[in-house]
Amino acid sequence: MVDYNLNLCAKYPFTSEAKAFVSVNKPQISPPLIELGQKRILSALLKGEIPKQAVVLDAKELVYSYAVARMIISQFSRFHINRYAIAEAKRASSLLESSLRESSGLQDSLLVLGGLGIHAKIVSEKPDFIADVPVFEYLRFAPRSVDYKLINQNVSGGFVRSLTWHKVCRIAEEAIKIQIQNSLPLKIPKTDYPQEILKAAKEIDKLLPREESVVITKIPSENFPPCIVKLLQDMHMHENLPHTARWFLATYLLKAGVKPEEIAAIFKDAPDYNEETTRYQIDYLVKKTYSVPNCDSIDSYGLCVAECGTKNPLQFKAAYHGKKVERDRRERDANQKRDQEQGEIQ
Amino acid sequence: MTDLERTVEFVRRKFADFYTAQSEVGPSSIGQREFGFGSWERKIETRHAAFPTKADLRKYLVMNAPFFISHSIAYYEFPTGRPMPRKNWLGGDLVFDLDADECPNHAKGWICDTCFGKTKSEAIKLIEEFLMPDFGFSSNEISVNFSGNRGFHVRVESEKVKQLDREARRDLVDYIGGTGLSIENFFRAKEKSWMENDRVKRQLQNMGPKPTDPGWGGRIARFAIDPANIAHLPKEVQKKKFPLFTQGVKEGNWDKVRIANKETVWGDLGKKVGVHMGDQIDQNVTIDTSKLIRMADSLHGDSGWVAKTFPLSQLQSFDPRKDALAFSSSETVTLNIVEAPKFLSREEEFGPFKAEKRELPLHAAMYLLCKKAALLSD
Repeated sequence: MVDYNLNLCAKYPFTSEAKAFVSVNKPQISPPLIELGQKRILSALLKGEIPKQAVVLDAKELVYSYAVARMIISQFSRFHINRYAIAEAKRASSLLESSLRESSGLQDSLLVLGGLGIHAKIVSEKPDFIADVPVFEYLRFAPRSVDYKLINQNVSGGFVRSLTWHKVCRIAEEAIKIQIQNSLPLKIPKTDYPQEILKAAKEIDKLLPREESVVITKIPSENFPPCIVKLLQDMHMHENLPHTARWFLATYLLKAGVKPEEIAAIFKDAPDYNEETTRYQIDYLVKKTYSVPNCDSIDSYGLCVAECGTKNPLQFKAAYHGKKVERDRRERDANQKRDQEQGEIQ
Repeated sequence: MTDLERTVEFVRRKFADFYTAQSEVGPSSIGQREFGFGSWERKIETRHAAFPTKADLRKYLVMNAPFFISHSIAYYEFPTGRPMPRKNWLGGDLVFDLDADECPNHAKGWICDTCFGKTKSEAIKLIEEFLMPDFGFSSNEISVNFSGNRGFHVRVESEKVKQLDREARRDLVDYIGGTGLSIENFFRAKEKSWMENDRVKRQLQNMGPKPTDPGWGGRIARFAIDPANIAHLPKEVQKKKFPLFTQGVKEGNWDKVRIANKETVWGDLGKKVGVHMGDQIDQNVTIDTSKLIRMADSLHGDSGWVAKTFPLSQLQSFDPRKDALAFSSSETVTLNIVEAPKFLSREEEFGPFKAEKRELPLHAAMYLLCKKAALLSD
C-alpha cells in the first residue's frame, strides 16, 4: 500500500500525489463534503481567497473538498474558473512561503515546485532562503511586471540567480494558476455529473452578485488609442490582465480624465477583482500622478496592438480631437458661407 | 516571350537544377512545420503548405523551384490548418534574425565588408555574450545560417525554449536588446535614498555591480570601464578621473568620482548599450511564433545565394560572396546590366556597371539577375 504524504496533499491538492490519493481513495460525495467544496468556491469567487482550515486536523477533508470544488466550478464560465484558479494559486503560494518554518517544509516545497516544472536550487539558507531558478522556467512563469523583468535579474549559466524565496513563491503562484486554469473545466459530459454537484453549483450561482458589467458608453471608445481599446475589451471579457497592463490602463484613464470610481468599475471585470485592493491601487495612482508611458515602452511591455502613429497614447486622443476640431471648424465655415450665399440670393 | 519572362524562366531552371543536386533538404520535425513559398515579385506568395517528409519537400522544390522557401518557427499539429488557431500550436524554436542596416557605402539592398561585418559582430555578440554565458546554451543547441541575402539567422532548437509564449519571448528579446533596464536593481539597498545620510551613502558605495558580475549588472560595469566607450560616460569621469572611476567600478564602488544625477546617468548608459544591440535584431521574428523564416540551405530569390548553414566556429570568417555561392564559374551568361555597384563573387571583383552588355560567370550573373539589376541578353 502506498504511503501518501497527506499533509502535502492537503496543502497542495493540485499535485500529482494528491491526485493519486484521490483516485485510489475515492471520496463518497456527502452533504458535508459538498458544503466544504461550496465554501471553497464561494470564498474564491466573492473574496478572492480560499478559506483557511487547519491542515493537520482536516487533511483528508481538504483534499476531498478540492476534488469536489473542481467538479462544481466546472459548471461555471471561464471567468469564474479563472477567478477560482487565482484564489487557489494564492493560497498555495502563501503556504509555500510560510512552509520553510516547518521541519520538512523545504523538501516538500521543492517537490511541489518540481511538479510545476520549476527546478529551483537553494543556494543559501541564512539569513534568508535564496534560490536559483532555470532561466526558461523563470521566463514561462514570472509575473509580467517591471520587478520581475528578466533584464533586471542576475542571469548567468542558464539560471536566474539569487532570487528571494518570496519571488520563487510568486513565480510558483503563476505556474499553479496556469495549471489549474488549464485543467478546468473537467472533461466530463454534463450528464455524467452527480445530481448533488449540479445542485450545489446552482446554489452557488444564486449567491453570486448579479452585477451588469460596466459598458463604457460615457467615454467614447474612439477617443482611446487601439492599445487602450484592446485592454478595455480584454477586461470586459474577464481576461486576467498582467500587472503592467492594469497599471498602464489605470494611469491612462486617469490622465484621460476618467474618474477613479469609473475606473474601479471597469476593473470589476477582472477575474481576481477585489474591491478594497482595487480602490487602494487606484488611490495610490491618483497620489503618485505617474506619466503615461511612451509608445516605445508600451511596445516593449507587449501592449502595443497597432501602428497608430503617435508617440504617446495620450497624443492619440489629442490628435483625434485636433482633427475633430479642425473638421468641425471647416464644417462651420462651410455652413456660414452657404448661409451667407443663400442670404445674398434672398 | 519578353526579356523579363526569359530571365525569370532561366533563373527558375537554375534553381531547379540546384534542388535536383541536393540529396536532402528541410528543417527538423518537417511534418509539423508550415511552409510558405515566394515568387519573383513576392517573398511569401502562398503559405499554409506542409510536407510529411523531407523527400516530399525535395520533390516539390525540384518540380516548382520557388524563388523563396520559408517555414514556420513553430511546430503545429495541423500545419495546413486555417485560420491559425486550427493549426494547434505545439511549440516553437527560438530564432533571431539579424540583418545588415542600410549602409552609406552603397545603394539599398547590396552588402559590403563594413555593413556585413557589423552584422557578423552582432551575431557573435548574441551567441558569445548572451546565448551561451547568460542563457547557458551549449554550442550543440545553437545553429547559425546565412540568411541568404544580408544577415544571419541564429536558431536555438531546445525543449527548454519550445513552450515559451509571446510574452516570455518578448522579455527575452528585451533582455538581449537592453530594453527596460532599471540600473538601480543592481545597486543593493536601492530602497534607501542615496542622499539620506552619510551612513547610507557609505553602505551604497560598495554595492554597485562589478565587471565580474553576471547578467546586465556586470555588462554595464564592463561597458563603463572600457576606454572605447569613454564618450558615453558623464563629463565628470571623461578626463583625468577615468582611472580612478575605473578602479572604483572594478571594486563595485561607483562613487569614487562624484557625478551629478547619477541614477539617470547610469540608467541612460544602460539604454545606450541596449539600443546598440536592439537595432540589429528584427524582434518580431523572435517574438511572433507564427512567423515564417527562410529555410536553411535553400536559395534566396533576391541574391541567388544559399542560406548556408555552417559551424559556429566559422562565423567570424564567413563571407557569402565565396561561401554561399550555388552556381559555377565554368558556365557564362550574357546580360544586359541596368546598374550595379562594384561587387565581389568567388573572390573576383565585378563592376561597377551601368547600362552595358556583359558576359559574366554564372555565379555573378545569377547574383545580378536576382538583384533585379540585369536581364538576360538575346
